[in-house]
Amino acid sequence: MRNQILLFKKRWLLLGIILLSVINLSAQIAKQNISGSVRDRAGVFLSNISVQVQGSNQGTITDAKGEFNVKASKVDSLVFSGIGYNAQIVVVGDNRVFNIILEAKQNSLNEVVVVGFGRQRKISVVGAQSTINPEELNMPVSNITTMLAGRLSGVIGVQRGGQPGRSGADIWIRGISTFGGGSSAPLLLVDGVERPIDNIDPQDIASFTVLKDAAGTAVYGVRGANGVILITTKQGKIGKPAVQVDFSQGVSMFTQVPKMADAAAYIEAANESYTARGQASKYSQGYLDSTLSGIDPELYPNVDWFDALFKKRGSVRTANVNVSGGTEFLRYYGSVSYYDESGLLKTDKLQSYNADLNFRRFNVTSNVNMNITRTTKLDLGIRGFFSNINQPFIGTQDIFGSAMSTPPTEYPLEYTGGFVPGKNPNGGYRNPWADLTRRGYSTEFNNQLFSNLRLTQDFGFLLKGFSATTMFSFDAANTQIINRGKREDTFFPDPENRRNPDGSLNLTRTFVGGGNYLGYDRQNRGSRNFYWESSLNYDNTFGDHRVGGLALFYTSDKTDAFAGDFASAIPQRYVGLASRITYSYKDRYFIEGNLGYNGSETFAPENRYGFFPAFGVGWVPSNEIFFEPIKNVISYLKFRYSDGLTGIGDIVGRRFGYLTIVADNQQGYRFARDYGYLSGINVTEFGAEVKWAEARKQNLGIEIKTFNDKLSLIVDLFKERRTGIFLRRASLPTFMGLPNSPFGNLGISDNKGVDASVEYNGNFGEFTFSVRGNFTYNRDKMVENDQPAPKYEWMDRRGYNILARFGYIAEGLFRDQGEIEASAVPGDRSIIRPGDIKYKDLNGDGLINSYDQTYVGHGDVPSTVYGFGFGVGYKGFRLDALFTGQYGADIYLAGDAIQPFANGAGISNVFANINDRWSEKNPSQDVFYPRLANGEDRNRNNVQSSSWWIRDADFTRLKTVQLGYTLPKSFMKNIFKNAMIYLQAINPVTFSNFDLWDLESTVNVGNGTRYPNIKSYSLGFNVSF
Amino acid sequence: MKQLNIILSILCLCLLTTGCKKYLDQVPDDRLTLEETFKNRASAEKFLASAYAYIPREHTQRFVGNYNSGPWTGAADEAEYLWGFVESNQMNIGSWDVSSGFTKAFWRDYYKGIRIATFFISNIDNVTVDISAAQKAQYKAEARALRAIYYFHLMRIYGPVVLLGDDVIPVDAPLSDIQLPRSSVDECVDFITSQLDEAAAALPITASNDANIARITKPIALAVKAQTLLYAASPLLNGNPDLANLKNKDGKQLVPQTNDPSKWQKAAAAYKDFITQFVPNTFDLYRVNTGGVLNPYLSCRDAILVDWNKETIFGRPDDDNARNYEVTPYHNGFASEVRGSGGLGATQRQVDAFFMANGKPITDPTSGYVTSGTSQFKAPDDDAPREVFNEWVNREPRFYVNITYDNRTFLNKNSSPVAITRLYFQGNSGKGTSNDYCPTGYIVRKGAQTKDWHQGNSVVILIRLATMYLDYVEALNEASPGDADILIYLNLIRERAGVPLYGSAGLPAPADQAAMRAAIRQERQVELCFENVRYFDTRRWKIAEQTDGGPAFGLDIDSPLPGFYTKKAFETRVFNKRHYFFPIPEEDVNNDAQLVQNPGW
Repeated sequence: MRNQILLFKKRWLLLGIILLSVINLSAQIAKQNISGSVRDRAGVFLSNISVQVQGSNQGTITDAKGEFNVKASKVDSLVFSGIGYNAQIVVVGDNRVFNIILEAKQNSLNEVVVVGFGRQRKISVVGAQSTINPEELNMPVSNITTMLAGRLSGVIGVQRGGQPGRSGADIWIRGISTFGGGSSAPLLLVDGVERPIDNIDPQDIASFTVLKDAAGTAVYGVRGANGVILITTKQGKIGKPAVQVDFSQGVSMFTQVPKMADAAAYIEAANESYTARGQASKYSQGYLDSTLSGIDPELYPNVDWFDALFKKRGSVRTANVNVSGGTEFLRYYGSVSYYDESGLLKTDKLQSYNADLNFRRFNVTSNVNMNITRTTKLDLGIRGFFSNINQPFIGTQDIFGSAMSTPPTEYPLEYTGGFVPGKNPNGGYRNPWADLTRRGYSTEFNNQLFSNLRLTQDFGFLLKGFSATTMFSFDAANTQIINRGKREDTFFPDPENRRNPDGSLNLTRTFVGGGNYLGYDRQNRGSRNFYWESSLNYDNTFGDHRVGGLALFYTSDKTDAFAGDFASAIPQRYVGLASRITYSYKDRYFIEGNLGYNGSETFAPENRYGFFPAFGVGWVPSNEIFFEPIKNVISYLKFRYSDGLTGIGDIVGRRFGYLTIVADNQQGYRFARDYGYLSGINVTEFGAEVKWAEARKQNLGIEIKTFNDKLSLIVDLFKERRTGIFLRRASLPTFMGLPNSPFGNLGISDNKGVDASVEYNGNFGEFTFSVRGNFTYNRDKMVENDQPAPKYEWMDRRGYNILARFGYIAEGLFRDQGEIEASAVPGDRSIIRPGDIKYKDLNGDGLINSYDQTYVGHGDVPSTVYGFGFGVGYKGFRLDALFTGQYGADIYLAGDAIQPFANGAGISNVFANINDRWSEKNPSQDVFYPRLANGEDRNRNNVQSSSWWIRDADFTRLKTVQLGYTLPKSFMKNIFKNAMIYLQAINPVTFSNFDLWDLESTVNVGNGTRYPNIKSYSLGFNVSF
Repeated sequence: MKQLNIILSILCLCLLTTGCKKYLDQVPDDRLTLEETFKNRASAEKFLASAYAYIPREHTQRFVGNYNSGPWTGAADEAEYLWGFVESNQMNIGSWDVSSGFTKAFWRDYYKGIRIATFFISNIDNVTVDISAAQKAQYKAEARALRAIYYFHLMRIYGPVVLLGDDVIPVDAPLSDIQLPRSSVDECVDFITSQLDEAAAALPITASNDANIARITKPIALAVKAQTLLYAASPLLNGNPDLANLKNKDGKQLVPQTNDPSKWQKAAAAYKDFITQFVPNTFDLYRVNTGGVLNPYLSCRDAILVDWNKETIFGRPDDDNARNYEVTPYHNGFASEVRGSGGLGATQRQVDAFFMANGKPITDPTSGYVTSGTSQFKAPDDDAPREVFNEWVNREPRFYVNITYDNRTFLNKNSSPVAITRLYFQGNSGKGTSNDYCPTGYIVRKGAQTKDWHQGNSVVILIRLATMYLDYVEALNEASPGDADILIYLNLIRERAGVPLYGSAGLPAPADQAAMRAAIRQERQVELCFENVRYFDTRRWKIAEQTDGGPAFGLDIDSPLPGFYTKKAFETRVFNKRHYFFPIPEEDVNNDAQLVQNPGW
């Protein structure tokens, strides 16, 4: 009304400049009613935002709906500020209504973080969690799991190989706490739904959070005990369409190829393997000379198999285009991305089919958020990908296995005319080159769709701070594998008469294959997954008190679409309630209670549901009055403690654990004269009274910020006791005749450790720099495994870590015959010579047998994972580097080549370090290999499981380096908002005492027969406009 | 607007409160259960088939413990496997202990069979339609016999075992209820023989038809009963002072410490009873005549090869070709159907056990045995004479049935040219040519197929009439030396084998009990070689320390001709007193406070 009067006056008094100016002056100084709302980028209305008239003490704060009313004049400026947000100043001018969007500050205490089934202000989080800036995951790798270890505290990861499309890492949160039938893998949730994270494009990730303790995971009940990884995808932001394009192209190489001996070293060692035991040598000097001279490579082959199999370089290409924007009513984020990696295996161009090793993936993501009414929000997310893996028909591990068992002198790649070399009539001792190039190919096509629809209703009109949400999700996954395999006949020159009179090879057929044409075999896999949750939320402040509540109900239903039997075709279901109550006072004291109540169909009705309560408390002394004097030194200090229960509910490979399973098609009998077969019916599994395993997790954390927030440190101490771990009962005598021992909740484990992260951000003039590090250490212990007490205490696995290795203690190598006579040996004493491994006779009975086996190693999962890195920026340039490493894991060396000549036939490849061996000439204790021997019998002493073959698997690697240059604004000429070019390197350098192959990828394959990890160098650009 | 809000809120609350009580109640319905299995005949028969599955598949001995196939051939003094993974090779050098997986396999698996059989016996009566009382009685008797047979196998391997009676142990039995002790040898023998008697009463003498030819019959039950008694009478279990300390925790003696000669009597009577009942109407020694004249070579060879011939008492039909691969030489350069591995070698000791064609052992100076040089010699299955080592000339037919020696034509003639096996260094089947070769220079030939070795179907012979005859004469010679039956039945074996009879011209009958014992033992060693008899014989007789310890000889496979003919030890075998029995699985000993371990383990 008053505004209208002013306008009215204005129209009437347009007569003179003076008058006009007077009126104007009065209008300028006149206070007007200004109203509006404040939201964040996601469209969430913000309460408690201060709205201040600049230079005055006039002002207000936004209410629960984010709205405000304030009086200000045209010439005034309004300052919008709130903890955790960048302040925004606007001039009032002619506007009376302001809809303000505040940008959240990075890393602020009021930053909202993702927690189980919701979000919380960071300061109020009392549980242990790690987050990572998703930008960091934006690397040219197919699988982000390989980028986690050493980047997030509390995450242990081991990458088991680098084959394109199969390079994922095994991830554990704070180590392994289980054994027997329970899974040790964490729960993975993308946008709140249990989903794989392997094929997500890093560009689409908005947040990445790891929940590590009971306060975080109790709400997940029977799924939470192994920790939880939460990923959310990017949502649209209010604004004009912002387009971002990212492209990179790189070359890939192996981090390290196994180094094998050349023909000369091989022949010398092979001969010594015979002569060292008094046998005639295998290769004559003439043979050696012929081999080395290369005069007749078909009869005297000299092949470096890994050289023959591997290409020098492959390629990696990534591309992503995304667009985001929206209005206050509708926001959108959409992205498409492409990933293409070609492997490093050679192909035979003469073959008419494509056996190239490669992986291609195409991702689509679309997130739309709508405000249907002022209090009703609808979020729709649809994501999907399809991918294709093309590979040789024979698995890479098999091919490398062949290469390890085939000496350089055994076969040429092929004989003239394309004949496949081979020796065994049953096809054994395959030619590695033929495995790679002559056996066909296999393709694996995957497509997956993820969808979720969420409806949120604000019930502020009923009760302030009260809202409800419901979400439904449907996911579908399909895999089709087509194998086109063949097996050709193999040939070998007739040993009596190797060449025909005309000089051609006199080949004899050694193995009859299935034909020289490709077969066809198809396999399908697939699943569909329904998930539905509904929740009531409450969040309100009463003066200094802040209260929050959550009650949530969910059901999950997953169906294996290609189940092999009836029981596994039944949907796997969970149902549960989760609830949380939070209370804080003045942002100093925090208390939180979490409760999970859920059930699983794995268990009998009476055992089906369980309660998983947890509580957490937090104290922020830096917000106390008494802290003020030192606040300029320590700007932020927080202590938190959590304690509670969480569970794990599925038994791997055993559904409906309470039911006895009787199966047809068990082993039967041929009763008829014509060998007609009657299959058997038998119990395969006995039902047992099983329920979930339960983990009690305790966590004590401290968070400090100091040096003007430049240095921040988070340290967490944790402790877990897991009880009721699923085990097959080992205390039942086998004479009961059970087909399988039934499961029971029998195992107990302990786990404790510490994880920490530290970060420093600073600058010198125009130089900015940051240093950061993180560290995870855990010590797990098997407390109870239901095994009977063994005869000797040192044989007992209880008290050791879960993956502990047991074997003989190697006491070095025998020095002389006298020492052999005076020592206990396993098996046949007559084969033992000086230079063979001597084992410790623990029980002193004069025998080396299972009574002498004890703890000899920690196993292949490290106890400590660490990462440290730095970033330096100057003007448009920025250099970031991250080193990661592990400590406390070991590798057990075994198998062809690394235990040379030890298989049945005494034929194997050998590694380049073969000269580091005990021999009559080099009777040293400090050697890699004991005295050589040929054949399984004569090697038997030396290949016993013992500490001799264990090596530390510690390494540090330069995991990523990135150099970026942001083009100057002047250069961009308003076309681009931002443009950057970058150079990225992944795994460029590794430091390790073990140098025969890449340790990380093969730590559980004793002779390195895994597709090695790759390193890559990429050049890319990222522009937005 | 307000209305929409209210509708939405009601909707949300409804969703929240909707109960999902039934959501998890998705028990796999209509599934197969034990109750369901015993409601109808067909499924009950399949349940019984799964009890049969534990009858050992001895042709897969390369994979010891694979369906109860034992290390009995490779770990006896008759043979040697090439491949190190074959557990008999660990046993031979003494490199086995309580943690060796294969020692647990038999204990575990035979008891599985026992559980199934027991469960079947107590549930088959639940089948009420489509089955006659007689049929049920027969099935029950089959299961009962199977259970007793499994106990017999356990006893041979582990000594006195835990007898579980007629009830299966409930899965959820308290641990205190399953602290069971071993029963004594006498209790085990009584249980096994009485169960077999009970079963025999309800079993048919022969299978009703071809579709059921492999079922347990009355003769099988009675044959195993006799063998159980023979075992109980033998020195290992009959007054063996070496096992004096094998006592239960309560002091109960498990192996009788005084020799009871009447046990031989009982055994002999059981065999005699068997022979009287079933020979010649049901069983007889298999004979092949060519031109109206007995062909000993074909008779002995085909007694093993011809399915369900008249000599077969207990056979196990199998579809595996594992044994074929082992006994078919590598034959480099020949067609794939005659190309195997030759990885199962016969020892020199076994080769030396075969008699000369004149019926005398090679140790007899008058036997005509020549240990050097070569001659042109035509083997019974060859079409032409070939140059062979003189030791292999003029041996008895069973030598040619059972041993493939250097320069011998192979059985399967369906290849062109016919394969001739060369076993010297870098010969077509010798070491140095392939990764698969014969470890001793002599390949086991018994059971080798005259057809393509890839074809698997064959009947594993577990008991044949010749075994029964030789068991009988052994028991009788101990029970009543000089009994006329001894020479009669021993000579029946020799007569069929084409070997001059004891008591014929130039070959006097063994003079006394000891000489007869030696003759019977050698006859067993020859006639029953590679049939899983020798391993248990040397243990029953307590002679394994001599036969299974020390260097084991073959030919010099690292040498071309003629050095190849030199005898060379391929390994030094280790046999200690503890090796007479397998160890009881240590888990069971540790779990069951009443269960005592075998001595020395």
